[in-house]
Amino acid sequence: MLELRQVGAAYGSSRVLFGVDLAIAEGEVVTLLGRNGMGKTTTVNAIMGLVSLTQGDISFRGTRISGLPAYKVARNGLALVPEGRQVFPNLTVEENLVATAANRGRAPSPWTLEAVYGLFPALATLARRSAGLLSGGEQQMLSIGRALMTNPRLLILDEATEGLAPRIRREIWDALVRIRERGQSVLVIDKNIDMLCRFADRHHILEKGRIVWSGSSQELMADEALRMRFLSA
Amino acid sequence: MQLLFVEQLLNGVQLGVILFLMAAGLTLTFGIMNLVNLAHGSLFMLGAYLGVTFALVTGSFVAGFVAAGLATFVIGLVLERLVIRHLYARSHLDQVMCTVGLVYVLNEATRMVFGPEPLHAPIPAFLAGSVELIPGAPYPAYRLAMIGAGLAIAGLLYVLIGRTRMGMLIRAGASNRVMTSVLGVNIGAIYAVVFGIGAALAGFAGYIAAPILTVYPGMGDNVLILALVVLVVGGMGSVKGAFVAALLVGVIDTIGRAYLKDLMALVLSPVAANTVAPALASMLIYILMAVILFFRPQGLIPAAGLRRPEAPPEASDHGPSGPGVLARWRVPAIGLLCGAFLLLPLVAGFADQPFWVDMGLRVIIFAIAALSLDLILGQTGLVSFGHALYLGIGAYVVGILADAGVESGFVQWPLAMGLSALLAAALSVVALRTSGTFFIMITLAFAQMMFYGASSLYDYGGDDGMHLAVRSTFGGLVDLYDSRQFYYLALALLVVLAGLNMRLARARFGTVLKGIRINERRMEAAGFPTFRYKLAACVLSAAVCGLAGAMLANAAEFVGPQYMDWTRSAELMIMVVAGGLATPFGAIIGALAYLGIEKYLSDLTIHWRLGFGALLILLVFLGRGGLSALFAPGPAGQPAPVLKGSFRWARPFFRPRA
Ligand SMILES: Nc1ncnc2c1ncn2[C@@H]1O[C@H](COP(=O)(O)OP(=O)(O)OP(=O)(O)O)[C@@H](O)[C@H]1O
Ligand SMILES: [Mg+2]
Repeated sequence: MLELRQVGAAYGSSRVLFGVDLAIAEGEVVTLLGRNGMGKTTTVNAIMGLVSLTQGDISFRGTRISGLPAYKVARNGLALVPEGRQVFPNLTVEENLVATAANRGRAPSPWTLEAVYGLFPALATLARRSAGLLSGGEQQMLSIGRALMTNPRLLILDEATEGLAPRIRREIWDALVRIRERGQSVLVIDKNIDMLCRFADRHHILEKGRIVWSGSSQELMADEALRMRFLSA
Repeated sequence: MQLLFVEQLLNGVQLGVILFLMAAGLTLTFGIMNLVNLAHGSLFMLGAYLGVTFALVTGSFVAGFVAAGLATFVIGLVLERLVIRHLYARSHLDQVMCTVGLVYVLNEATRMVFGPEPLHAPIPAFLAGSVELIPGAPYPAYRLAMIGAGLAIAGLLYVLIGRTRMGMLIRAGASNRVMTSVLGVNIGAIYAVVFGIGAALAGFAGYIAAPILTVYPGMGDNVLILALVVLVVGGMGSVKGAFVAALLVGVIDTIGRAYLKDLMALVLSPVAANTVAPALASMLIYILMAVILFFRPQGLIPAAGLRRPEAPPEASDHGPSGPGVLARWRVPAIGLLCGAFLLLPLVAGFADQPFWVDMGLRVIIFAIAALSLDLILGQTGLVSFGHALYLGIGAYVVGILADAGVESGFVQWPLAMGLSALLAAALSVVALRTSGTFFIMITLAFAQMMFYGASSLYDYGGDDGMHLAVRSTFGGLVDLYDSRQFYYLALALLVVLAGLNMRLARARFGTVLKGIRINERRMEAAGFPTFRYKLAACVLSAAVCGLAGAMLANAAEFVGPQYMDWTRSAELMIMVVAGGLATPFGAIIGALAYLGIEKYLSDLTIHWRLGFGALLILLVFLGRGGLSALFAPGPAGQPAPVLKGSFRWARPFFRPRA
C-alpha cells in the first residue's frame, strides 16, 4: 500500500535520511523503531509531504505522493497523529474532530463521531471543552480521534504514548488494539518495545537515516543483541 | 441635551459599525495569515464606487449592495491570487511596501476610470425619512438602517466563524497551519476565501457608508487608519475584540467631537477651549489607543489560542551577500554621486536651469530624512510607519516661530530637533512596548494623531497649512534666500550626518542595533538593555528628521499637515528600501531615485501613481537589497572592526544589566 524507495531528506544542508526503503501492505500494522534523533519523525514528515525529498520517491496505492503538498497527500488516505499531539487549542473537542473530518463519500465511513466517542469515552464528556484546556492524555486521544475522523487508509502514529501516565498509556494502547481489530492499517512509532511486539506484525529499525533491520515480532523478541545495539538508550 | 446625546451616541455606534466591518477583515487576515494589508482601504473605496455605480445603473439600492459585496469579493480573490499570496512568508516591511504599492495602483486606477470628481451616492427613497426613536428626537432612517445592516453582517460573520465548518477550519488554520493541511485541508484555498470575505466586508462598509461620506479616490485610506486603531485597541486577530473596540472608538470619537468643547469650557476659558478642544477631540482615540496599549500591549481582547504576533525576522538580512552586478563600478559611482551633488549649482548655472538647484535641495532634504529613518528601519529593524511626523514637527516649529517673529535659524533649527526628540521619546516609550505589526500600526496611528492635531491648528492655517512668513536667518552667515547658499548648507549637513551615521553604525551602538535587528532576545539575554538602545535610536532619528523638516519648511516656504500625511511616511520608507536598508549611501540614492522617478513619471502622465505603485510592487518582489545592492562590494573583505571607545559620554545610559 505504502512504499518508500531510497528516500533521502534534509533540513537545509544537514542530511537526515540517506535512502530509506520501507513497504507496508494493506491491513498491516508496522512499526518504525530507533533511538532518538535517528530520523523517525523525519521519515513520517517526508511521507506526509512536510519535508521535501532529496532523493527517492514515495507511492501510496500506486500513486506517487512524493512532491505533493501535504493536503493532497492526506486526501489520498493518510492521516498523521503527530509528535506532540498538536490539537487545535482554540477549537472545542468536538470541533477538532469534525473540522477536518472526511466526507469524501467513500463507502460507509467506519469512523464517525459516535465511533470515536465509543473508543474514547472521556472525549464524549469533554465535547464542548476547548481543546487547549485538556490534559496531555486527553489531547492525545483527541489527536488520534481527529486523525481517525479523516477515515484514513493508513494511520500513522508518532510517539502516541510519550510522556503519559501508565494508566492513560494503557487506555491508549487498548484503543489502538481496538482500532487494529477493525482492520485499520497502522504505521506506529513508539519506544515501548514490549507493547509494540504484541501490537504489530512487522518492525523496521532506523539507524542514522537508513533502515538497518526489518523483521517480525518473534525475530525482534528473540534477538537481544539487536535490541541492545539499536534500541537501548 | 439628552435627546441630542442619544443622537450622538447613535452616530457613534454607526461609525463603530463601519469600523467593525473594516477591522473584521483586517483582523482575520492578520490573525490567520499574519499579513498586514494596507490595501484594505482601497477595497472600501472600490465597494463604494462599484456598488453606487451599479445602484445608479439598475436603480436599485439593494442591487448595489449585493454588487458591492460580490465585486469586492472577486477583486479580493484576484488580488490574493496575484499579489497577496506571495506575501505571507515575507517580512512585515515587505508586506507594508507591497500593499502600499497596491493602494497607489487601485486608487489611481479608480481615478482613471471614474474621474477625480467625487461620486454622489443618493440615499434610497425608502430610507430617506427619519424615525422618532424617542419622542421629539427624529433620527435619520438611513443611519439607523446602516446600524442594522452592519450589526446583521456582524452577526452573520459571528455565525460563519463560530458555527460553521468553514469557520472551524479558519480558526484551526489560524492556530496551526501545518496541522490543518496535514489533515487534508487546502489551507491556501482557505486563505484566499478569508481574504475574499475580508474584502467583501470592506466593500459592504464602503457601500453603506457612501451616502454619508464623499466617494472619491482614496476615501478608504482614512477609514483604514481608524480601523487599524480599532485593531490595535481590540487585540489583533480577534473578531470579538474588533467588535468591542470598533464601537468604543466610534462612540468616543463622535462624543468627543460633540462635547469636548463644552466639557473643556468648564475648566478653561472659552477661547482656550475653542482652540484646544477641536485638536484634542480629533486626537482623542489615538490617545485612548496609547493608554490602552500602555497597560495592555496585546489589546483589550487578545485572540485566544492564536500564536502571539511574534516579531518575525523583520528583514533581518537585508541585502544579498554576493557582490552586485555593478560592483566594480562602486568607486566610480560614489565619485559620480559626490561630484554631481557638489557641482550641481554650477552646472545649473551654466545650463541656465536654476530650478535644478531647488530640485537638488529637495533631494538633499529628503535624503536627510531618509537617512534618519534608516537608523531605525534599516539598522535596528523597527518598522516605523510614522516617520514623516517629525518632518512635520520640524516644519511647524519653524513656521510657528517665524510667525511669532523668532526668525533666527540658530533658535529655530535646534528647537525643531529638540522638540522632535522629546516627542519621539514620549511616543516611543509607548510604541516600543510592542513589536512587529503592532509597532507598525502604532507609529502610523501616532503620526496620524499629530496630522489631525495639526489640521486643527486653525490659527496656523488648519487643513490648508500656511505660507512661511520668512525663511530662517543665520546672522548674515548664510542667506537662505540665495538658493545656492541654501543648497550648500544642506549639502554640508547631509555630508556631516551621513558621516556621523557611518561612524555610529561601526561604533558599539551600531553593532548593538544590528544585533537587535537580527535577534533581539539574544541581545537581551547577553545583558544589553535593548529597550534603551531602541529608544535612543528612535530619539536620535527623530531629531535628525526634525532638522530635515525645518529645512523643508524653508525650502518650500510652506508649512502644513500634509508633511505628516501617512503617504509621506510611506515615501520615506520607500526611499530607504529602494536605496538599500542599512547601507552607507542607500538613503541618499533612494531619495534621489524616488524624487527622480516621481518627477519623470509625473511629467509623463497625471496618472503617474499607477506606474509608481507597480514599480513598488516589483521592488518588493525583485529588488532585494535595493539599488545599493547593485554596487555591493560583496563579502570579500573582512567586516570593518568595531570602533571602540567612541561616544564614551553616552555609556552610562547603556550600561549592561547585571
Ligand atoms: N526542523 C529541523 N531542522 C533541523 N534539523 C532537524 C529538524 N527536525 C529534526 N532535525 C534533526 O534531524 C534528525 C532526526 O530527527 P527526527 O525528529 O526525525 O528524529 P526521531 O527519530 O523522530 O527522534 P525522536 O525519537 O527524538 O522523536 C535529528 O538529528 C534532529 O536534530
Ligand atoms: Mg520523533
